[in-house]
Amino acid sequence: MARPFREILKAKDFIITAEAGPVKGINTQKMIEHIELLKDKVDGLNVTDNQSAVMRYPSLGACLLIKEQGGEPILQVTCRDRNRLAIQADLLFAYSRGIKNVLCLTGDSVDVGDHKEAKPVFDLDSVQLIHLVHTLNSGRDMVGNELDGGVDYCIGASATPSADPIEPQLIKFAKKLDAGVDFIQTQAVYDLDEFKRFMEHARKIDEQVKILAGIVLLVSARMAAWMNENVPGIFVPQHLIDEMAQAAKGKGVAKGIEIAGRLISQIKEEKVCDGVHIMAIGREERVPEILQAAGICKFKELGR
Amino acid sequence: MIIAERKPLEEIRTMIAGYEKILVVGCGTCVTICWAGGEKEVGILSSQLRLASSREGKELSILEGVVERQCEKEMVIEELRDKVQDVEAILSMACGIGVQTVADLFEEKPVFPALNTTFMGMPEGEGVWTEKCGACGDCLLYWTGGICPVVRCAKGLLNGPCGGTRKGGKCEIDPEKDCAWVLIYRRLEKQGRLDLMRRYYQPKNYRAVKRPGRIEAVTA
Amino acid sequence: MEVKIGVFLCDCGGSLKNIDFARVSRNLEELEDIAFVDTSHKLCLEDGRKAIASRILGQNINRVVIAACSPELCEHKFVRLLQELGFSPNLLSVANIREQCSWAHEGDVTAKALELIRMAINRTRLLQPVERTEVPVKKEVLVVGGGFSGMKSALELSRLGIQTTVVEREAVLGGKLWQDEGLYGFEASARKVLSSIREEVKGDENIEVLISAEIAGVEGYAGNFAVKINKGTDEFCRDFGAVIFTTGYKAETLPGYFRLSRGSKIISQQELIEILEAPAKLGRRPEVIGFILDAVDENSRLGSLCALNSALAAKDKLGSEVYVFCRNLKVDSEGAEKLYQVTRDRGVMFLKFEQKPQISVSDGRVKVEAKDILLGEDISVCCDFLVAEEKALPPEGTEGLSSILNVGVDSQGFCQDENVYLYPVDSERKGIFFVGACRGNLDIARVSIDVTSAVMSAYELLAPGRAIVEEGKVNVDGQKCRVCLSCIRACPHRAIRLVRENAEKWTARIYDLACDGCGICAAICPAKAIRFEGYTDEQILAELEAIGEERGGNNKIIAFCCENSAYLAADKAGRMRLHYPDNLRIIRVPCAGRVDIVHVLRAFEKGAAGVLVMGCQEGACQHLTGNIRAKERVNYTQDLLKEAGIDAGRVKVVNLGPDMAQKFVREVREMAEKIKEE
Repeated sequence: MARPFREILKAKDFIITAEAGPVKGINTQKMIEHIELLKDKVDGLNVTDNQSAVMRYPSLGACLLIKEQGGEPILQVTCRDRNRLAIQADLLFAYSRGIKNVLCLTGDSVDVGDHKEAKPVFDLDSVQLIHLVHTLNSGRDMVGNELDGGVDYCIGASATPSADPIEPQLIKFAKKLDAGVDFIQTQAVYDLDEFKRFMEHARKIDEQVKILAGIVLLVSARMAAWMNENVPGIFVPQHLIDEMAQAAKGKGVAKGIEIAGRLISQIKEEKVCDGVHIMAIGREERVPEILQAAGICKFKELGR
Repeated sequence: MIIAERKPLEEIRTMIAGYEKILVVGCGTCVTICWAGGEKEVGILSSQLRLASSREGKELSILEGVVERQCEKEMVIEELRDKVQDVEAILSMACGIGVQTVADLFEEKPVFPALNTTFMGMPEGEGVWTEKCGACGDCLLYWTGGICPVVRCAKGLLNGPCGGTRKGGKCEIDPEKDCAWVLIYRRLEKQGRLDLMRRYYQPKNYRAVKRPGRIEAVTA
Repeated sequence: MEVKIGVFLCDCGGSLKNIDFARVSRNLEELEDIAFVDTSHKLCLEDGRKAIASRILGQNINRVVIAACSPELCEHKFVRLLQELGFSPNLLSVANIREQCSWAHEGDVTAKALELIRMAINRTRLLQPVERTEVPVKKEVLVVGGGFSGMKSALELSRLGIQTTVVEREAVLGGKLWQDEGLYGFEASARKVLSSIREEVKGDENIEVLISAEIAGVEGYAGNFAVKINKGTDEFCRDFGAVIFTTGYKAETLPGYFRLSRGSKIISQQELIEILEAPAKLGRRPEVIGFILDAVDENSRLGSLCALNSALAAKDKLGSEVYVFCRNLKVDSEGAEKLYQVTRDRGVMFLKFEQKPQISVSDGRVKVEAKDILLGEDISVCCDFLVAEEKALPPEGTEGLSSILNVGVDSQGFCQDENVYLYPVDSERKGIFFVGACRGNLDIARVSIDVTSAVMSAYELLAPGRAIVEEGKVNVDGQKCRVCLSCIRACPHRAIRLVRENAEKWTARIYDLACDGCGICAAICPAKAIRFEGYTDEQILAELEAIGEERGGNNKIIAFCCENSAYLAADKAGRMRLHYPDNLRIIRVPCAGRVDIVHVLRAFEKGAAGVLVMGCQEGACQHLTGNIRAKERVNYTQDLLKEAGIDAGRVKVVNLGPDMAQKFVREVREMAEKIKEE
């Protein structure tokens, strides 16, 4: 049984979470392998929810798998696909099955995904969702009815430190913190100076909240450039694209791991924030190498 | 006002296939102003249909007309009462409202929409119209500096922006479009009212207007 | 009232031998509303005119069709004749059976001639009279800017008896020239000359001067502008018949080039002039003075002239060695070549470079290094002072002014549309003129000519105290107008306003005196509320109706020809006897911008096999945007044709100049070939 994430947040200096992407279908074999690989190396394991608006096995289902395997799941809920009724219902169910951590997201737009003609819901936004979870935590539903059996979620939210312009994002960020979050997992961080400035702003508003810098694994220069254009919230700076371009053929991922490791170790050494959230979608099996490259050899066993 | 766009000719021809005598009727209000279904466009569409039909050796006779406001029953009846007698079907170049008004008044005749009604908006410049209002029935423009996030934010967020804003303040979905929340930020900053953006806004009442909507005003 | 048309045929002294006039006459006489068909040998001469006169005075006809040479040659004669006879000249159509028929094709062209006349008859049936009325105009001119051109304009207008008000932003008159002491054009100092002009202006009783005043708004239209003026804390409104802008320019040292910050050694023209005025202040006489010209901006004539003058003055006054570094010194301003010669003869050295010189500072002197392309050597000169290149720019507030006036500026921000029809001093709006340096980079000689042009145009407009307009020739039906503002936005002459008269509904309204008769508005109106008499949709479509399928097939080519370009080119082709296929039918329009999408589609419906829309060349449309709109409409029409399953290549837009007969013929032949292939 994994240690509850809420406890870890309070106890540890440097927190590590990672992300696993679910399958498009019901063949959960691969997912279970990833969960096995990572569950003991990280403090919490997120599963994305129809990420980039591509329909997949739900976060809820995958979190149950994590629970079964003995890991600590972090449920991701977006506002794109469900209205307030469905969200509340799902949250009740999840908690009843031992899932106690939730990351509240607005959600990528339907247009970037594979079901481009779907009706986007967005009945709520991420800030409203955070408030909603608090309401549930207090034993009531959104309209004030008492719940027969309550929940007590550990609440997380996201942030975008490299937005341009940054001011509107900071206002939104402040609203999230005001609403009360336990942890933040940011979008991809590549520029530490920029991130440090962001952290200054953040600390002015809330000194307690645990902030985990998002680390997205780069796999090739071309992929990095593609992400810049097509993936919302990711801005890979040119010098890193160039560094990736210099990698020898076939060594792209290794280079990406090196870069990720470098970023993480720097963040840890300089105590820039409270930890990292590693996103290696499609390459979940390389996460241990990233940890190794970062000098975080917490576990004696690495790899399979 | 209501902005609409003409459907592709092929789609229109499929609708009216088999009919040899039709009435093409435009509307003199919104769709005239947005260059979609006014007298001029009635002339153009009728010309195209005749050219296409004669090319295929098919018969097609078209009666042309315009109703000043196709959503007013009296005006529709006045203008079309006689004209509909001789035709087999009606091709309306009005917005969805006009099409339905005509369909309701002349129930025995099939009525086809030549336009796709797209949004409520205004002209940004010559020939360019942009969406501004979503008729949500619960106008919140007073706290967003006069910029509507319900339709101009692609996700309709009330506590925006989302994390997907592109560089330069452009929308996640369309790099040509501005992020509405960045616009709201700039507007409120100019007015020194950023405190409005810092407030938390509750989830929207999406049933402010019970759909299908209906309003009864006091008749006095 | 019943239409009764009198038709006059002219066989041009019997020379149009490939037309059987007897047959034409017989054919036309059978038409119902034709009162008579007369044939003459020289309709435009005395006898011919007498014959017309007697017919008009005698017979009860209310429309006239003349089939003769090109209307470009003869129409105005017949218009005058009809006016003298008290017959409305708007009820006349001229069919071009000479240049565009008899001379343009080989063999018998009777059938085509007949069709052209029938097109004219169809059109004429629908013509409506247009009244000529008088519009009062205010016989006063506003001159904005009290510099050299402003004062000159006011003085010249005064000499013609026109009252002028000069509004100047600064506290004194004189403008930029006052500072450019050493400007070419005066043997005496510029200031002396300006001072005397200033005195003249002050003493002139036809001229009112308002200093420290600015323009806040301009409403109205030619002959009747209402101008809001701010002077200090006062704001008042005055009426003027015309406005002449002479807001001048400002000179700026080109920053980016001189990577060194402008220290005391790299100076502006202005600073050099100050040095020349008081050389003693320097202490030490500068031994070497350098000038840099056209390293960045090759077109800086004004700057170059100033520099030459200053170079000469520096040589004379200070005795220094003077070098001028230039790329291609342009000496096309009046007297500039002579100035250059004099300057060289005096010993100023000119060094011609190709690549930008390197400039550095060493030991308190400015070093200029460049490769002199005449010597073929690298040259290095150390100067005590280097006079920096200057660029003439529009003065502060030009953009604001252009939006107040609702006129455009060119790519550099100067008030001059780069359109040949507006050149030299007109703006898009009748009655508003731009004179002098505010138009771009000019020299004094050219400015003086501009002043005269503007003054004469203003005088012509205002002197009679009234202007004669064709009332309502282009007219908005207030009831049909949807107030969509399309015409207001599209009018290149800004002649349309949004008005609400007598608390009735809002409508667009066209001001006759400001309207230049292009018809762009009539084509763009989505409610078909604008009527352009002589070129209404019905009248144009009526011409199309007359085009038959006489040669057993849908093989006619319709060419909508702009009367400023393509129609003239077609006439020229006829004069040059350049033959082209005779299945071409030309419909004359005032501007390619009048041609509407539905005209083209209807042409195809009537059986045309190809359509040409022919207008002026890029940047040369008399109505500025007519040819651009025509192009966009034709592009759109091509999509519409494609949708309907018709080859989009059957409609084409052609841009040509009025003398491009060869191109005209080439395009027609190309289209004829294309439609044959089907």
